[in-house]
Amino acid sequence: MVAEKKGIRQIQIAVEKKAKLELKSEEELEEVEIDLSAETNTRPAD
Amino acid sequence: MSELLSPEEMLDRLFYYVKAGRFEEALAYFSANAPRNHLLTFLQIEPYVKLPRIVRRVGEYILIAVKKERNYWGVFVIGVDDAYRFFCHRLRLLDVDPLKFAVEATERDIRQAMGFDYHAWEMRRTMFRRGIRVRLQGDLTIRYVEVFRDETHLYYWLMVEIAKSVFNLERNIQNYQQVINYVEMLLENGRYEELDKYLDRILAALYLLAINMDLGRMESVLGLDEADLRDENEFVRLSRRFLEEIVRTICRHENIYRIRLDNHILKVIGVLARDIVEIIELNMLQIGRVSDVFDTSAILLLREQTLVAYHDEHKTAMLTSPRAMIIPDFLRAHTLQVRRNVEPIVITMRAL
Repeated sequence: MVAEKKGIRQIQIAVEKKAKLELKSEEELEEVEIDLSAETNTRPAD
Repeated sequence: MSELLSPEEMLDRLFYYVKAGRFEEALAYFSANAPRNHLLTFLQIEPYVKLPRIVRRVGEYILIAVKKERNYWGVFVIGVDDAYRFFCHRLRLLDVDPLKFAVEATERDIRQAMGFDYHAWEMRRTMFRRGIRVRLQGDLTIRYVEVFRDETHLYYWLMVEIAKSVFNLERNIQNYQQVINYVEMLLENGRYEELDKYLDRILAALYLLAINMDLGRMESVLGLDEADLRDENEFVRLSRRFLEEIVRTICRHENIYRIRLDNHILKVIGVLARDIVEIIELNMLQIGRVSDVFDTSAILLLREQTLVAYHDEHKTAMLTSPRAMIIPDFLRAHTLQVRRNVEPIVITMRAL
């Protein structure tokens, strides 16, 4: 039982170590409008 | 449309008319089911003129090649779009013999010549890979410059790309290409622990080479004084912290963007590559250049999401995307492709 608990804890640590990007929460994301029409390599037909 | 037909049936009927040389019916049928600019492009097959033509039904397309002046062949692709309307796309064939293409092209060849590999609705998670071009809506495409398996993959990729620029690795490491190939192999195979250690070795090598770098920037970002950077281990540890701080800054530039691309609006959550370039340039410790991977029109998707595109004719289209570096673009068309809202120049005898 003790060994099982230890195993679970090790997995959790491994997962935590992998997630390293500190992303904004959804509320923190701002809506921004930009125009990239001039940046594309090709001109559209439609 | 007077009757409800599937896209295949619409194409079969049009193909029958064109193949049989019944151009009056073909023109009437196309014209009733296509936007004006596509009709004007379709007219470039010159239906009322007797010319050598090759007409083939290939997968979801009709391929028409028309012999124009001298030995020049114009090649056109006709299909049905997501709004059940015909489109006519005049191909711009580069380094390909148009006649050979007209005779031999497969559906895959046609897509590649148009500038995409798959439609958004065909995409499955396992199909995303570096270099793939997805047709999201109408002529709007998404090119995947990099695709990340997970957050860790993206994190280490960013760390490496930032390190390349801020420490000017290409100039400062003698066997640069060999080192980068090894780093990429570790990244591709998800060997993150080894990569982590290898990154430290690269930074230690920079310290041992006593490369002249403007460490003042690093000191100010991390709030250090010069003495902190005099020991090799400390240099490596603080360099890592410096890179991590730049990654953090990039993450803070993530927003919900509504990007106008001519008549399309693309909604994405990401970081603009131009912002990443600016952040890296501000933190470069030696004069150099930022990696080409950060194209000015690219967007880094830090999280999995559904990309949404809006267009007045094509309405709404969606694509569930993994974390990736993407570049929005358009299908590749011939210069004579008639664009919407752009009237072609018609020279009449009266004008002359």
